[in-house]
Amino acid sequence: MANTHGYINTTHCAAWDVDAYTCAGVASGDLDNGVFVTLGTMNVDGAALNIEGYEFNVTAAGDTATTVWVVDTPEVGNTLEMQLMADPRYFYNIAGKPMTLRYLVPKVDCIEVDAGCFVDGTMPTTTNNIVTIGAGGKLVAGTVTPTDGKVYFTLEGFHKVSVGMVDIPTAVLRIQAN
Amino acid sequence: MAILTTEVVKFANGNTDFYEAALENYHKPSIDQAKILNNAFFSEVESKSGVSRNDMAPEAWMTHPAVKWAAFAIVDATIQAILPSVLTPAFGLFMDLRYVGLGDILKIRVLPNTLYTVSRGSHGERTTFRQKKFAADVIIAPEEHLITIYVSMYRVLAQKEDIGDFIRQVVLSVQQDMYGEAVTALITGLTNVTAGTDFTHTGAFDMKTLVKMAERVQVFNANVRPVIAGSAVALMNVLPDATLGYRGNYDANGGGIDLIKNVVGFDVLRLQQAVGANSTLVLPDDKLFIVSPTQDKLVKGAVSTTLNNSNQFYENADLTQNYTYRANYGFQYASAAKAGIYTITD
Repeated sequence: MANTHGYINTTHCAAWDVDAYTCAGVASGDLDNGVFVTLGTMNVDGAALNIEGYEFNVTAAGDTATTVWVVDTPEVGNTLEMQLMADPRYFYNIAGKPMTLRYLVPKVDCIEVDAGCFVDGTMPTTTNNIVTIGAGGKLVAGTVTPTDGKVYFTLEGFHKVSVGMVDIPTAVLRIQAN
Repeated sequence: MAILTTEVVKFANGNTDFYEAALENYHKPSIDQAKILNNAFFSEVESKSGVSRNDMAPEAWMTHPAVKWAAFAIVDATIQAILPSVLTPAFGLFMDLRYVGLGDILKIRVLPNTLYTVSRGSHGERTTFRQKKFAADVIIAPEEHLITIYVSMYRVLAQKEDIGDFIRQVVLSVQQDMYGEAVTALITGLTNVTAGTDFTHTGAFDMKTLVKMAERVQVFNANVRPVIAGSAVALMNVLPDATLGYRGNYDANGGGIDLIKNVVGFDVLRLQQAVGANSTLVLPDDKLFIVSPTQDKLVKGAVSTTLNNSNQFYENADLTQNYTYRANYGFQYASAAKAGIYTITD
């Protein structure tokens, strides 16, 4: 594997301090940090709905999703390579294992994300500064502001995260609708 | 007394005279010294093999298994005695060389060396936007490098082969190749790491730009003053700018041309050249490196114990004896320190 997985910093989010904005999810496929998901069922025993655990089944959010959560698991490895490497971009969430989810509060919360969180690794620009959710729960930068209640972000600015001797370009986004 | 590695001292069993002589002959070769060294070598072979030359014909002595083993074990130890003395001065400015076991790889954790964004507050908030930095790990896997040479039995018996030259050239070849690889790692790494930042500049030589880069490197390296380093040819570009109004009196006595030794407090240091593939020089003519030597070294090297193999004269159809020297080493740019690279285009 390579150090190309998404990185997110919940730089200014209510989820720091509000336990209810954080929960655990389980996906059927591998997911990077910084991917947006929608909550499915809680861990229940089928139709009887007896709760067996308070974690949720999640799927990567589609481009029409509303009320999304972002994956933000501490970057400690599930594999030998992840475990050996301090670079957070080696980290991803393995299918079937619990991952940490954060809910983002519209108009308030800001996140810092690297290119790995965007579809095709394409970061926003000063003109492509409206960010929505695209394929696989990853972000897409564009120019059109959604009007139908869809999740979207605005670009606050650009920053960098140092990883060893390399500076990774990041974008700081404010969530406007969720 | 020369400083020898503990492995060499242990191998010499306390009597390091031959290895010290070999070290001296490497740095100050002379015909007389070579003859003495040649005799000392055979004495050392006698000592290590326990087989006296006086007890048998030269041909029989040379092909004795114990003699053969001792000869090449001594050659190995001699190379180990010489290598550190030639590597350290050449690499000292930018290289951290670490010895690893055979089959090991080196993992180095590099800490970030950038500054945080500072926000203004109003005494009414518990936190501001959170920032994060990470360490990164760099893996260096030593790569095997080989040299195979051979000697003709007849020439050895006739004492036409000089063991001193043999050792010297092996050491020189390894040293030059290692230095070449290290410099390549330095240039590649520095170019990649500084790409798009203020730590890199490409253009006609401009003294103010160079000094500004040196100042920047100093600030980011905890105020450790950097040096301006490069090949002699590259440093010939480091000249005062006439438009800045410098005036000086220069003595033509002796007719020598010297390099500028100091630029407003930043020492200028000439790096030793080395020969790379196709006899090309490894240090570029157009690049200046701005490096803080006492900070974390820019290039990390992993070197593991050398191995060799050889055979008997009668095992080769042409009555020659092969000797293969193998060294494992690798280099990579990996440093928490900041450094600059100035590519001169005029």
